[in-house]
Amino acid sequence: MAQKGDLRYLTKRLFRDEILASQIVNIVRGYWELLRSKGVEEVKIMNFCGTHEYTTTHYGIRSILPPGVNLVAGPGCPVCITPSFYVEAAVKLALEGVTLYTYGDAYRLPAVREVGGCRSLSEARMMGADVRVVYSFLDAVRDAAKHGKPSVFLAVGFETTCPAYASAIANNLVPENLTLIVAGRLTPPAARFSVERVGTVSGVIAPGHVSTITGAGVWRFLPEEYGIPTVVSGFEPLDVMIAISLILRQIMDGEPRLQIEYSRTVTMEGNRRAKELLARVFDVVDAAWRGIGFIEKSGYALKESVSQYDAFSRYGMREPNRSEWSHDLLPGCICGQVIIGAAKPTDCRLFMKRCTPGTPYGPCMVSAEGSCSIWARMGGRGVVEEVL
Amino acid sequence: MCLGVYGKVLRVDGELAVVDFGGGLTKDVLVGVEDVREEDYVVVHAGVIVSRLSEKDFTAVFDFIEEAAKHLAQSKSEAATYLAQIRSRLEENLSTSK
Amino acid sequence: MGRVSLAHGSGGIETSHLLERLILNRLPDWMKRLGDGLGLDYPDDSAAIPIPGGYIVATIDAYTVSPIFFPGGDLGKLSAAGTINDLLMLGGRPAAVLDAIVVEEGMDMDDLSRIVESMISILRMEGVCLVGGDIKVMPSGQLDGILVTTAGVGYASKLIVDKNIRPGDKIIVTGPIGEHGAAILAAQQGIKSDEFKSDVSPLTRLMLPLIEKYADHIHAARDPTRGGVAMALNDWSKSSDTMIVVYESELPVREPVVNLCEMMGVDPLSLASEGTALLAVSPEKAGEVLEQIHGLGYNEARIIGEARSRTSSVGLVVLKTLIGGARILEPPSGEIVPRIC
Repeated sequence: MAQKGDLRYLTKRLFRDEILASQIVNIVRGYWELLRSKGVEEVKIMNFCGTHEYTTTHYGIRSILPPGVNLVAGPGCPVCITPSFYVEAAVKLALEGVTLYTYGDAYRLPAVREVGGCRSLSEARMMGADVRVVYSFLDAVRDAAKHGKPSVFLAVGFETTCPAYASAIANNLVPENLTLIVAGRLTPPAARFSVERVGTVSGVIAPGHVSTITGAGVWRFLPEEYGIPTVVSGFEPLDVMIAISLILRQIMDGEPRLQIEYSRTVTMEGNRRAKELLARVFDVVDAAWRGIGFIEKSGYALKESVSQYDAFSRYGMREPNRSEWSHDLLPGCICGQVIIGAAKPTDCRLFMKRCTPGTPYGPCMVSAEGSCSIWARMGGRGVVEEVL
Repeated sequence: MCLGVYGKVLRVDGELAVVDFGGGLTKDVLVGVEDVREEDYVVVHAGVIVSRLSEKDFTAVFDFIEEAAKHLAQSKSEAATYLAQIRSRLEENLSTSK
Repeated sequence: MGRVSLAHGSGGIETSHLLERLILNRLPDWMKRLGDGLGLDYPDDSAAIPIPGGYIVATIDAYTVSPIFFPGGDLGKLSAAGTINDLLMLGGRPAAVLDAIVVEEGMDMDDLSRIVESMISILRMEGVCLVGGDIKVMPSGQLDGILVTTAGVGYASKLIVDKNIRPGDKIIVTGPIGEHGAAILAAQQGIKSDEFKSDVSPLTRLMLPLIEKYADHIHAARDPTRGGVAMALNDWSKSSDTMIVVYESELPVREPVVNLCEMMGVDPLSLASEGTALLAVSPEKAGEVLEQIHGLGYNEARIIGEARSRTSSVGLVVLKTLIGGARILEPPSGEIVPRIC
C-alpha cells in the first residue's frame, strides 16, 4: 500500500470521502434490494452510543439510506440515563458552597425535583453557585488542587470515561479537597435490557470507544444469545455506513455474528491496563438508569479501600437503594421507553408541545444526542431530501 | 457516548502525556493504556488515552467494501468497474500524505 | 417566569425569545421604527433613520468577554470593531462612536488603560470619532471585571437589508469561520497554542469599496458574531422567505479550529467571528464580487451556498454534508460548553 502518512489526517480524508461514501450507499442499497426480494419489509438497526447517533445526524446518514433501513438510538447517552438523584445531590452541594465540576453534557441536565429553586447545575450557577465546566477530570483535579476549596466532581460516563477517574485515584493524583459523585454505568447490561424489551432489533452497531476499553468480546452475547448481527463501529460517517452494510450482509446470509468494523483501534480483548484500573477502584453494582430503573451489575461504585473519594460519605449523604428508588421521569414523559428504543419520540404526547429543544422537559430532549432532540431537529426530513 | 479524538503522542512522563491533536493543538492527558511511546497515534477521550491506532489495520475494513462490490455486481465487467473506482479513490487518499 | 440564564445572552434562539418577550411585545408598532427607516420591527445589524438623500444608521452593543485579554485582541478592540462592523453591515459609513464603561472596583488600572487605548486606536485607525461617553465604577463583586457599551452612528445612501435576499443569491463568506469563538474557547479551556487567534478587526476596508460599487447586488450582509454562521443564516432564511443551502465541503474552517471543535464537541458553525462577513449576492455578480473581495486581501473568501425558493412554511438552512447527505442546520442553542459524548 502507498504511503499512509499521518493517521490523524488520513482518518478524516478516508472516512469522510464523498466518492467512497456513494459506493457504500450503493452497497447498502444492493443488499437492501436483495433482502426485500426475500420479503423483508424493515430492518431496525440500533446503536448504543450517543456519538454514533451524532455522526448519523451530523452527516445526514438517514437521508441517504433506503426508507426501510431504520436507525434507532438505544441507551447510549449518559446524560439521558443519569438518574435525577445524582443531579439533585450535585445541585444541593453546589448551592451549599461546594465547587462543583462536570462536563458540558451534565451541566444542563435537569433533575425531576427542584433543589433550592434549581433544576440543574446551570441553574445553580445562575444562582451564584461555583459550577465549573471542564473538558477532563484531570483539568478538575488540577484546578481543585490549586484553590484547595471543598470540591466535587459529578462523575458521569460509561466504560470509556470511567478509567479517567480510576487512573487519577489509583495514582494518588486527586487532592484531598476533591471527591466524586460516581454515576458511572456499563453499557452491555443496558444493551441486553433494551434488546430484550424491544424484541425486534435486526442489528446492533456496538459502541467503538467503549469497546476500546472493554474489548469487542463483551458484545458476543448479542449474536450468540439473541441472534442479532453486531458490528463494533467507529465514528466517522463511513464507519457507520460500512457497519450498516456489514449488518445487512449478515442478515442476508442468516449468520449473525460479531464483527469489528473499527479494527484500527478496537481489539477483542480491549485495554488491559484500563480494565485493571477500573477493577482496582470500582465495584460493579446493580444501578439505576433514569426512566428505566435498576439494571443488574450495570454501575460503578467506589471500593471500600478508596471510599475517602466518595462525595456522599464526605458530605453525609447516601444513594437510594433499590427499594427507595422512585421512578424519576417527569409526569407524562415517556423517555424511559424512548431511551431503550421501544417508543419513538412522536409516540409521546408532550413531544413538540410541552417539550421542545428550546424548552426541554424530558432528558431525551435535553442532550443534543438524545433521540427526542434529534427527531425534533430532523423534523423537516422531506425538505432535506429535496436538496439532495 | 464517548467522543474520541485522534492525536499523536509528543512526550510521555509517567502517568501524563502531551498529545498533539493536529495543527499545533496540544493538551496534557492521562495515559490510560500500556506502553505508550512518543510518535504513537492514540485515541483520547475526555483527557485520557483510551486506545492506540493501528496503522496496519487502518484500511482492513475496505476489503469488505471491495468484496461486497464484487458480490453485488450483476456482471464481471460491472464488478471490475466498481473495484477500479474504489481502489483508485483509496490510493488517492492514501498517497496524499501530509 | 423562571430566571435569566447565560443561554439567554448567548445570541442563539433563547436570546431571540427573550427579546421578543421582554421588549418587542411591549412596543406598539409606531414605537419600533422611525418613518420608513429600520427599527426593532425588523431586527438587523443596526437601525436606520431616514434623512433627505439617505439614512442615519445607528447601533448599540454591550460587550463582555472572558478572558478580557485574549489572543488576537481584547475587550476594547472587540467593542470598537464590533460597532463599526454593525454599521457597515447595514451599508453605512461609520462616523462616530459613544462609549459607556462600567468597571469593577479594584480592577488593575493598567488593564483598564490597555482596554481603552485599544478601543481608541481602532477608532483612530478607521477615522471614527469618539464623541461622548460615560464611566461608572461598581463595588467589588457586583460585576466581573468590566463591561463596555459602544453606540455607533454612520451614514448610508442605500441600506443593505437582510430581507432582500432572493432565490438564486450566492452566499459568500469572506474568511475562515469561527476564529474568534475558537480563540475564546481555547483560552477558557486552558489550551495554549499559537494557532488560535481571534479575527477581531473592523471590516471597513472590505465593506466600503463593496458598498460603493455593488450596493444594488449585495442583498444582505452580516458579521456572524454570537451564534456564528448557523445563527446568521437562520436569521436570513426566516426574514427573507428563502431556504438557504450550504455546502459543507465549501466551508472555510482552518484545521486547528476543526480539531479544537472535534475535541470539545462543538460545531464551528456556531462559533463567533468578529472580523468576517457573510454576504448574499445576486448570482450574476457573485463571481465578480468574490474577485473584488480577493483583491481587497480577503484571499480565503468563498461561495459557500445559495438561497433557494422556500418549500416549507418556516425558514430553514439545509447543510449538504461532506458525504452527500443533508441535515437541517439549527440555530445554536444554549451556552457553548465542551462535551464528552
